[in-house]
Amino acid sequence: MEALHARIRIRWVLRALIGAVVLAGVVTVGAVFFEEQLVDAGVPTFLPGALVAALGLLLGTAHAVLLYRDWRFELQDDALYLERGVLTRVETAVPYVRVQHVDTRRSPVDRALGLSSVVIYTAGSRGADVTVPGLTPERAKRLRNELRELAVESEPEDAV
Amino acid sequence: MKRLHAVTGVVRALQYGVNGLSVPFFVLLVGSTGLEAALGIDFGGSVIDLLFVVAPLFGLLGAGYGVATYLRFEYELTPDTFDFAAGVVGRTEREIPLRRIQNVDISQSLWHRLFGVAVVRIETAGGGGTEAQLSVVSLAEANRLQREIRERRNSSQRATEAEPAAAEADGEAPAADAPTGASTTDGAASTGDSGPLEPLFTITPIELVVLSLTRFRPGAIVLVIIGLPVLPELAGEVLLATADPFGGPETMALFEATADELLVLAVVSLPLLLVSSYLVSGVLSAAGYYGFQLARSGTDLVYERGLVQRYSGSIPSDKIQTVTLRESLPMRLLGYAALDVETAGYAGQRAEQGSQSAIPVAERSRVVELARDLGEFSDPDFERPPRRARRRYAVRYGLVVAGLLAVLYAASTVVAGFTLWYLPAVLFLGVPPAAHLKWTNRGYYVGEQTVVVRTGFWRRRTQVVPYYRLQTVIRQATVFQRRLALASLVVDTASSSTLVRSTPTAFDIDAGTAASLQRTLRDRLHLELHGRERREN
Repeated sequence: MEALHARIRIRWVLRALIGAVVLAGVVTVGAVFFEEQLVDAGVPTFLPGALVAALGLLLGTAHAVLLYRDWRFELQDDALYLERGVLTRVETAVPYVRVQHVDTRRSPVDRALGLSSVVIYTAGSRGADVTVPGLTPERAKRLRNELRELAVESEPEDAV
Repeated sequence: MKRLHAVTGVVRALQYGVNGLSVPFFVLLVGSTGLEAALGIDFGGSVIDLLFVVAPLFGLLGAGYGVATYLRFEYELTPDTFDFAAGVVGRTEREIPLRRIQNVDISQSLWHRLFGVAVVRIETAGGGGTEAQLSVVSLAEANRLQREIRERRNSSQRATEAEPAAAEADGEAPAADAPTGASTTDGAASTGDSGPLEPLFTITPIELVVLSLTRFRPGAIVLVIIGLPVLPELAGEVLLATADPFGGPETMALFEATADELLVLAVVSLPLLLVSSYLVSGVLSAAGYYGFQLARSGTDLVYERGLVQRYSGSIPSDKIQTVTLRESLPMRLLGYAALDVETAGYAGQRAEQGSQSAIPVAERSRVVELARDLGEFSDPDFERPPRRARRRYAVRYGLVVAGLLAVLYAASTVVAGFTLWYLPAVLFLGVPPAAHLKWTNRGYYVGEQTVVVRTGFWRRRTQVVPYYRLQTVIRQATVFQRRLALASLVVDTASSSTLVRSTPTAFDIDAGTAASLQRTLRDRLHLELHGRERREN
């Protein structure tokens, strides 16, 4: 089983940071609205927002670390196999016969971190696209090519 | 290339004409009022005068555009594709290979029926919506399209199946073989080999009654809620009269009522709402499935239904992804069941009505028989989830009741005159039976060619998935499931209706079993595909 690149944690922490900042912003707007009551209660106006941001970042970081620890994928004999998830653990088997097409994708953050993702599409209704994030660009390209060859080898059958 | 029915031109002209007419009204009136307010200019009557000139002009323009959309829409059914070209300014030209077509649906609303026309929709597995919509063609033309798409697809399939055989025979008798092959396909096309309709099921009046009694459409609730303000007096009277014996308020002056009286009113209004929705839903179901008929034509299923609005559709049975046996609690009590078939055809909005009732309702034995006929359906002995799953459901329901009590208790400390917060504690009595029923209705079965999963007490659904339709197999376990060594196995297919309905899932099975089952399903998929390959060669 193969793990993701360690730098993916930075991306996930960044994502959590953005979420925490947005949430803190909302809370702060609320706090400004109730400023008088807060001052009466002896609470500085920006304290609730700061607390929310800190808590969000803490949880997000813990989530990123745990998610990275358990993320695994493997090219097995008949299917791409993925294991992931912190609270809900999900293990997906994507048979090569069912692969419709494969993308590599790099967001601006990915490019800054030197990472790349592979997205695998099937005709399925749920989990129709499966993403393997946090790969080096070379690995992503290789994985895409491997998957393409495996999909071609395994005789496309008319699924729909 | 053919055009749509001529009435389309008239309807489009009216439609776009009215739109065109209303644009100047909106722009000029709103614009001039805005300018008057902002700049203090007084246009006086000149705006009205201008309207009389501009509005008809825009109306004519709109009508002209409407006619143009009609004139610029052309379609054609070729031996192996359905082509159309549409659009006045931006043109769309599309060719749909007949063998990729999933469903061909015909629908007629009331005005369509008055003019003898219909809307035809052609669905494939790709794309985000209906691939081709002909609105409107004559009913005869609609039926012709539906039939010919079916026949041509079947004969082209048979031709491709015959090819390898022809190639093999080539070495022995090259001269004799080719004409034979050609004549069979010709014969198929000319005699319409998919042939006469073989009726499979016709709904009886009794079944129609059972259907309207047992099928509840949640949409009816919305209809009733929207309808309420139309009859506010009546609705209020009925509500007060029903609430009266339980200590409800005497008038609709809600601000003067006590908290307890309001609670009674709320508790009473809910069943009232449900009962009236139920009645509305019954009428809708009866009208929608009036005269339901299912027939087989070659490898396709063809159905038609409807009292006011007529619907008909064709479903290629070799494109069926999953078959679902639906038995709600009232249906089970009466010994009835329903059968849905799902294809990959519907996408987007239409996915909501995407699964088609092969049989809206019939006696269970008849449904099972037909399901067996359609595919590798079996009515097996199900493997139940382990007993600890039942405990999990009990805990879950218990927590819900406890949560409700906590919320009501908190409310009672704030709201004066509200003392009955402990009333929902009776619900605790229902927790063990509810958990047990949820547990007994869940199960899975791994068969020769299919995997069968079942879930639901109120609306029990037994979903049959052939191994060769599997897309991905997903095993998942939440924190709580992992604590009890349980997992759920999701068996995904390309069926489009699972976007809104549930994907076939074996819930809360033993974690170890789930892992080995995931492996088994993958292996079966491969065996099936290789087996098919051999059979085809």
